[in-house]
Amino acid sequence: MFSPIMRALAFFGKEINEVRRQPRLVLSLLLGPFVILLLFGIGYRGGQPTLQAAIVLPEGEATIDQEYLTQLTGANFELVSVGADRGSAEALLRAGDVDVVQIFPADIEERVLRGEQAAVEFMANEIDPFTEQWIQYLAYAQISEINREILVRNAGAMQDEARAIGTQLADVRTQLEAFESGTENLNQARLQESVRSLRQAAGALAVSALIARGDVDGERTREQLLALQADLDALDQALSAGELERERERVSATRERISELESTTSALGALPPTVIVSPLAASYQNMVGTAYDPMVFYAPSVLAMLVQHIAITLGSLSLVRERLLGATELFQVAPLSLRSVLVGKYLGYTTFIGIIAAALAALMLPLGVPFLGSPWAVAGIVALLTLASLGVGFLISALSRSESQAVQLSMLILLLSVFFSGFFLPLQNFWAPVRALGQAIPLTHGIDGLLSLMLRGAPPDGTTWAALGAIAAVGFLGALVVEGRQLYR
Amino acid sequence: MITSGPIIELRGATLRFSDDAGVEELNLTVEPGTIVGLIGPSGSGKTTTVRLLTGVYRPQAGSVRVLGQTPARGNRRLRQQIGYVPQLFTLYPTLTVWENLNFVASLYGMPYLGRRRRLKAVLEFVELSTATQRLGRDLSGGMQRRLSLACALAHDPTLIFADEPTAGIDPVLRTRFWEHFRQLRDAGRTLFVTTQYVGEVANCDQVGVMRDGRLVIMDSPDGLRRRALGGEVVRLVVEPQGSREAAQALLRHPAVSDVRRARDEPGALFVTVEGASEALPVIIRLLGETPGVIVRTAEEYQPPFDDILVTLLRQEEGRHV
Repeated sequence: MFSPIMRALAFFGKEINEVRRQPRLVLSLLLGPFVILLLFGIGYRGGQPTLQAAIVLPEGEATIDQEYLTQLTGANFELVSVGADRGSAEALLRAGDVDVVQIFPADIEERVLRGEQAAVEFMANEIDPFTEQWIQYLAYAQISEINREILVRNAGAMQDEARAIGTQLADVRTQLEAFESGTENLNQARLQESVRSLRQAAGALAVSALIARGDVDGERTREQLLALQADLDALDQALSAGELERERERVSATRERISELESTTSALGALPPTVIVSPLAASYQNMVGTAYDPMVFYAPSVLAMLVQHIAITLGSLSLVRERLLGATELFQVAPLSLRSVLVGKYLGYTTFIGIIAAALAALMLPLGVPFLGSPWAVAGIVALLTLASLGVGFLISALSRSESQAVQLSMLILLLSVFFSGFFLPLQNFWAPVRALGQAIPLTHGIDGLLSLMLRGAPPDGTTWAALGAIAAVGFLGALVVEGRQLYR
Repeated sequence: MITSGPIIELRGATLRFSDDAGVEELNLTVEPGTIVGLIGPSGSGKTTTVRLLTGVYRPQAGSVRVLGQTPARGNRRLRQQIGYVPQLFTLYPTLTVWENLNFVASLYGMPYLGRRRRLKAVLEFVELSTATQRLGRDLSGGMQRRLSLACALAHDPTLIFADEPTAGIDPVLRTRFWEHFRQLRDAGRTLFVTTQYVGEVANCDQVGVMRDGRLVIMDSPDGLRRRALGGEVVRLVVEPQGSREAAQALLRHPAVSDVRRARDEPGALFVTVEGASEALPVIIRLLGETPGVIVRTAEEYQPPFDDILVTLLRQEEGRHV
């Protein structure tokens, strides 16, 4: 009754003994990934790449302040040269001395006044799609920033105009109040001049973008300004006809409207130009506090990758090695089923990989890698990932005719895993059928599970467990069928 | 456990591989408690025969019965009665002698209780008691073969298949191996041994000669000699000047079927008779009575089995031609 267990345990003991007799292998399996992770943590600087730029700014172009442009460009690029000669800048680009050349047009103001956009050319000589994306993004950000700065300046100028209108409004209001109270003699010529001047300014303010951007009711203000224009027209005509007395009612209404507009222009003048130009500002809050640094973030993926790689390598070499050694012939003659052979090997390798994974996890702790989730759940994911990867390894081994073929196939799986498991490139970026391929790789689910458990402290969802279990089952059955066919001809 | 009747029975067993190799129409019966040796040139089908008998291969035609069962479909009980020494060292270089032996014992389901004593006894039998902690990779070729034998004997099998167990080891060790085999046979075990050293067949009870996948002869070692030489041979050395007279006298005697003179040794004669031990006093008396003939030595002559095999294979070839 205990014979199958005894036979499985025989393989368990054999595999453990064989592995422990290779201390250099164990050491390299353990320290190799740890050193790589450490180097990654020390060396990786992340963020945007440092891109070198040259600016071509035609002489006499005054729309953009050169000092400001240099400062702004320096925030995104490492500025190598600023000059007026396009040819020299392009030569630098061709020679690879700069990554990007920014060419500003000579007639920015004229174009804008003609109602055209003035295009700033960004030239690159780039084969790396990711760097190209960075250049395009930084170009967009830089031009947006320049546009914003121009708008801020314009808004400031418009605020100055609004403040000037405020003064005119106060002047006209004072004269109208004097007329209404009759306390002093009205200088009708001066009032008419003031009315005409205010009418013109009110017309300009009514079409100004400023009133749509300030902290005021833009539509109502525009209506008030148009009404004021009408009032001022009527007063102008009454003054010309010397019949202002007949327009007392309109004078009173105009004065009230002016009082209201005064508070509006005062409010417009008080707003900071940056608020007028960019009324919305982003406010960011991360519910977990702050994101982890890249080394910590990649630690669970490295652990998962290590587990998968060792399991696939051990599994893929296992059966083919027994076959080449001739031991399979002994197994065929002995009262032994292939199921017992595989179960014993699963036991031995899972134990060994478990020890390696635990040791690597212990080494990660001093690096600040957190293990927020349940240790049992982490152990469960590692165990299931190991079983799934061993299944893939055994299947490779059953299909391989030589050790080199098994190693080659294992490396192919490693390459597949790097690209399609979400290790570096998010799976969402792939075409749906390719994403399906990623789902067949144990590492994809191992990374999901360990990231969630270690860094968020949340148990992985059911699909992670189910997918790993399914891959493990398919691998085991596949190896059983393929190796069985070869053994019992 | 010895069964009544043949322990091995092959009836027209045939297995052909794609490259024309394999075995054809094998017929063979092995009685329990015997050593059966299988000889033949390389590629003649010895290993394929062993693999058919151990169940590694299934025959395409004919039948294979071992211990009353078909080995390829044999149950656990059958397999537990079989010990196997494969042609190559199939044990693990990174495990010690003890670990290798213990591993194989577990494969055969040997209970842990009493296992240690049994394994120690087996190691003592193959003279590896002092090397239990040595790694497989550190063993000499001879020690590896002995460890293979120990592994095959660990579970105390009834029937032992050994595929070229003495290949590549020195003559002294080869002699020891055959001593072990004889001891096992005397203890009631049955051994089926293939060998490339033809001289070793003298240790067997039955010898099969294979050629091109066919079992061309099956006989005892003495029987093979008789087949090759037409009887037994007595070697005589007489004074050279009387050798012609001696040969003529011998040829006239009814117990003598053939007389040959050695070319490279003047006075040496090889006399073929039905039974050497019975014929020897008759021959000496006859030559003593023959004038001019002085006998120096007379003894039963046993030619090397290599010569016998070559002769047999030539005879077989001639018969087919």
